[in-house]
Amino acid sequence: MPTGSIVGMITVQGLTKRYGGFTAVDDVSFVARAGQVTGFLGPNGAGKTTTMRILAGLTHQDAGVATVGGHRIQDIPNPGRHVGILLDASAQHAGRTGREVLTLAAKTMGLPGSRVDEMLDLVSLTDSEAKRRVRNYSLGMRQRLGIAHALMGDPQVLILDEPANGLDPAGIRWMRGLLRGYAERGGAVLLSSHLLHEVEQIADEMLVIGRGKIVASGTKAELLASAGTFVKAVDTAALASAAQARGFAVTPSGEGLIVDAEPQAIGELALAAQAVLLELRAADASGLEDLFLQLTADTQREAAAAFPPGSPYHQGASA
Amino acid sequence: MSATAPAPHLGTGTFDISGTAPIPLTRLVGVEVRKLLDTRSGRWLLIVQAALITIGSLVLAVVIARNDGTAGLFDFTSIAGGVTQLLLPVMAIMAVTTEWSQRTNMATFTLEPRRGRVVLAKALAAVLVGLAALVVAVGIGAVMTGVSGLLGAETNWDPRPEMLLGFAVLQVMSLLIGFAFGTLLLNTPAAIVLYIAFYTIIPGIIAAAASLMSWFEDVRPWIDFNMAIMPLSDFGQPDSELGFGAVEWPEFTTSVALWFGLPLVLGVLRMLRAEVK
Repeated sequence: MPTGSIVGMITVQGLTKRYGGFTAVDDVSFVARAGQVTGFLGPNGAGKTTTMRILAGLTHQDAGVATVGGHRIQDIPNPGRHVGILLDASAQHAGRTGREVLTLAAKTMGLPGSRVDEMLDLVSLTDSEAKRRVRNYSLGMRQRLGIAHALMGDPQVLILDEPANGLDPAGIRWMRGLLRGYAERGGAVLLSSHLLHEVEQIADEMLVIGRGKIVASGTKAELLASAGTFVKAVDTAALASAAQARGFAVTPSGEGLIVDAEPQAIGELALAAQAVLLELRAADASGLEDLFLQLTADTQREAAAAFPPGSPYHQGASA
Repeated sequence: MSATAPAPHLGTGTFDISGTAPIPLTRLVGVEVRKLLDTRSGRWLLIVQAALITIGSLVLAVVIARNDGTAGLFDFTSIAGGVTQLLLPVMAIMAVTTEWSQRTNMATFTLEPRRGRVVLAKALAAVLVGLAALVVAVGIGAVMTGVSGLLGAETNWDPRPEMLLGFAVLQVMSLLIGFAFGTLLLNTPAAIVLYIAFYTIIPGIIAAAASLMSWFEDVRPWIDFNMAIMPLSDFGQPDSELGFGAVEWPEFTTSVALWFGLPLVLGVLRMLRAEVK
């Protein structure tokens, strides 16, 4: 990958949107770079969709700037040729066939009819499925149609709101491959989800948003570094008090602990305390999930804080 | 199973839009015409109109022939006009409102964020489809005039271009008023109800108010669209004094401004500002 690709293709600066007294998007700033998939992660109602709608020109912000490729979308002629957008796969006329939906987009953008067949092929919608009315499509088929619609104009930037919603596991894997390939060819992808595991496998960078504010951002490794270290010892309780005595924050996690420190620091600590370690590693996906829930805890509708991280009830808070 | 590689515009964080041509209005109009015809509701609206006009005209042809009357082309265009003046505006309303009820405006407005151009393209598309429907309606009238002749009626083929033009102006104005109601309300049933009220109930209310309040009698010509356009709707008789010469243009202008201009301006302002969800 050329180093020159590390440049913000989507730039959001100080973006704010209020609805009466409610601030849906609160001074949000981030960039999504060319050649990367940027995951936009947050619980429902955190402001992901509003941010994306502002980027798409469908909602007008109260303050701040949102540009794609350096331009406001309203200033891009024939924007479908530069920016592919999927905000709601169900927002299609129920009485049109999938093929007709794509044909209207191709005609609007001035593309030949053959492009419709290419896109149907790309998203694996068969000829007979394409002739069905969208009313009879499953959510997964609508997502495929929406992805075809977004890619139709061969854009440099993709903005996708919850594209994995409704896809089966095979479909999610397919989409991951598609978007990865798209990013590797230099495209910029901004993709939102409220489900961590959907995003963490595909995104190069993650933005975590809660209650309208970006609460964390960085690569998975960077976020995990701040998620701490999982450790399990023969005498976990003794290790916990030793870690606390050193001033590290300790959180019980299953049969072990998550300690807010580097693995090396904990190894040294265990050596000094003569504790026998059974496991020592960077907090993994579940650590990331704990982190995600922590970061957005005070922004959740449910009282996530009532359940300690790692407790089986914790997961329910992301529903 | 692979997307065409996007042109690599790496290294700047911007892409070059200077080589991208804006979407021509003609293409937008073409797409909007297609949208009017590619759904069942759109197609059926036109089929029902043709069927109603054909049935109504056939009945009229038979009645005229039975009574040894004279069948004129204008008799049939006035039957057609009764149908199209109600249903073409419904088509124009739906051109706008179904995008909001089906939420296809999300796609429409992301592909062309200059929403004003989309509204213009929709209006032009509705007028084009409306004019094509009127050509068919007049064609049905011509056929039915011939049918009356075959059934033994006397026929009057004098088509009077001014009459046909007046018929077209009335129909297109009605269609545009429907369109304006659609932009104002952005809701199919509400806009249709408003248009039907405008077409059926409001003229009666205006007439009643004018007969009850003498001051309103003076105001009425300036706001009564049906009164202003009447010279164009009712000059079928060959010796009629009506026609474009009988239109009071200042009053015509103010009533069009009230029933078309005002809702359209408010509606377009609303559509430009509305949050599309």
